[in-house]
Amino acid sequence: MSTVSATPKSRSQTIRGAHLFVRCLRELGVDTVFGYPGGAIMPIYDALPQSGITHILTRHEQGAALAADGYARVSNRVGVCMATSGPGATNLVTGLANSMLDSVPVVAITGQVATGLMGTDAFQEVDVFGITLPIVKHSYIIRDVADIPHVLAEAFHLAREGRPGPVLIDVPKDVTVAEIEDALTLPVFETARPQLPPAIGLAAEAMAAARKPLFYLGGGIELAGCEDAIRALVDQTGFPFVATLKGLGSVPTDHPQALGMLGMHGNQGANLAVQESDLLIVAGARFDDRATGKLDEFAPHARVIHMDGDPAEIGKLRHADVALPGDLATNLGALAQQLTRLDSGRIADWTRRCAELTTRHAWRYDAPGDFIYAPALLKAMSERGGERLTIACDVGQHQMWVAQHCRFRRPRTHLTSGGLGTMGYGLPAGLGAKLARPDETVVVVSGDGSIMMNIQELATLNRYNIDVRIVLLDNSSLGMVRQWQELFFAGNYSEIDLSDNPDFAALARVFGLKARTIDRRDQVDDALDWLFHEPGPSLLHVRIDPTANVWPLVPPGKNNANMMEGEAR
Amino acid sequence: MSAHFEIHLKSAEGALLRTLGLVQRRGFRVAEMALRGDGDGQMLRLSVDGQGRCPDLLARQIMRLHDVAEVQRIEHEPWQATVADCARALANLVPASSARPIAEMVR
Repeated sequence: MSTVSATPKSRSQTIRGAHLFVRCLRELGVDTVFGYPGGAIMPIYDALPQSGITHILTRHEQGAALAADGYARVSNRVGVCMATSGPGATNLVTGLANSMLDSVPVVAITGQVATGLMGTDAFQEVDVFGITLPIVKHSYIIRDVADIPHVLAEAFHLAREGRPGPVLIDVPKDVTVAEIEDALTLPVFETARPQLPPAIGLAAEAMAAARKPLFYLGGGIELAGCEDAIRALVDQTGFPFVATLKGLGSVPTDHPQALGMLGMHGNQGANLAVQESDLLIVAGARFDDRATGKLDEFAPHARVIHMDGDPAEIGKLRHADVALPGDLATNLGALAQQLTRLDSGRIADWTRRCAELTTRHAWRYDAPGDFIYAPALLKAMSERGGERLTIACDVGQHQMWVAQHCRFRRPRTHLTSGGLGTMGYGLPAGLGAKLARPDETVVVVSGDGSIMMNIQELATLNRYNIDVRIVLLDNSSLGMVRQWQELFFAGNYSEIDLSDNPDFAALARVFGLKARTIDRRDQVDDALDWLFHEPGPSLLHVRIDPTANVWPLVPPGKNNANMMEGEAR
Repeated sequence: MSAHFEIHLKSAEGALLRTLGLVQRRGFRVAEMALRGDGDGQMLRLSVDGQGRCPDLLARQIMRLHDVAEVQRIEHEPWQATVADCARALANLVPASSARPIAEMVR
């Protein structure tokens, strides 16, 4: 990394650190920040008006952090959030952890008490630098106003570079009010040129020799922006593929070689294919426990080619027979070049077997009963939403139904809290996504538990007229917890009843949204028409069967071939 | 079984805390450690016990930290001074003009 160029501006007067800070943000390409003001960060808020940066006032700092996360995911740019010291800063923590576990480039700016007061238990003083050490890629405390340009430029570089992640900048109040000569020199950091790992040839040989090869695609593909390269390799080889929760959409989920999502709530056909395969070509995935089930028994017959931008992921949980660390796009391109003589006949039996698994375990939507069947509703919603649909979801049963039943044809259109599993993610992430991509139709799919975690952001939708449509699946309970208590805790239901929920449609109207409620199957078509044609932010409240479960399910501690299957209701 | 590391930390706020925190979060127990200034940064020597976890993977995880300039696995325990350490220490004790011959004597 080196500093190679600058953006000099020659002026003679002095400016406050806060104005320098905001100008740096602008120079770094920031057009939108999500935040909430307060004492220690007031100088920066003082510099924001007339800066050209749009500030979105969320109603809670967690909403700001998660909105920045959503903004970053769909745009592939750095999301920016800011908060004051103390409780403002600690309220960012869940959002930062969310971005860390899903490798999302976010820069979080926190005000801090003046440097002379740091360490004295001053009003609203908290060591946010220390608190966030495990959940950020890197962090800074700016102690000298002259360091502002370098720290900001480096923070934005680090957030994006290699495996992306959140970076925290804690800035004491005396630094932002200090005067400095008005001459901005912003360093530029270069990214190291990708190098080809020596094992590319071995990988190509293994792929040419395999009889049951399978691609295993993860979220790293979107992060690396190499969806075209993976799509080309999938097409070139004819190999079937499975995807992780975060890998959905890196290659269209309705591609003819797609077997679906693997893992705990994956498609049975996908899981069985993994267990039968003799070669897994893993791209941008990290063998997460929700994907592998019992690790010792995961893909027992398969050799593994592991490609990942983060060398520390290779061999972490599963031995890699061929390790390809480094830039995914470069490695995928090199593989494609070396695979010139693939014998498609070699895998003919395997592709037939995979097609058979796909057919045998295809989703069914003919559930008996009168309740609205959530999988069918989500499938219809996904198809009605058109080609420019982005779905942000919360965490729980509805999150798994979205992954199973919605169609994702483009990368960065499925926003889900994969690593941290943050209830309350969907609404702020969806509003961040809509601001980053106003041309997209953004639908938030949430549950009656999750929506209440950040319900205050309905006010943000209304304040800025952010055109997000919400589908709220209401089973009057914490559905996923209830399902696990039913299956694994002998039906001892503990603290999952939400039958005293508010009237969600009325609540949404109070916040200024349009809203309606449905509870019968024959209302679904008309309600979806309303959802997509009514302009402005809206909420569709859908009452579903309180006893519905997500199937199939790999029980904890079991391998992925042992999936439980229950009755659709 | 213990593994030993020599880690060059950059001069950056929280570099030591960040590194030690990572080591513990990844399931390793810090058994011994030594720290001294090293030019602009610090040299951290660690002896860790991973209860079966892979030290080479830990080294790669440490290397991801922006505060870390270099990580090496070493054979000796961190509190054992090396010949180079002795030479450096002696050189710091005497005037510059006489440092070289003493260092050579130690070597």
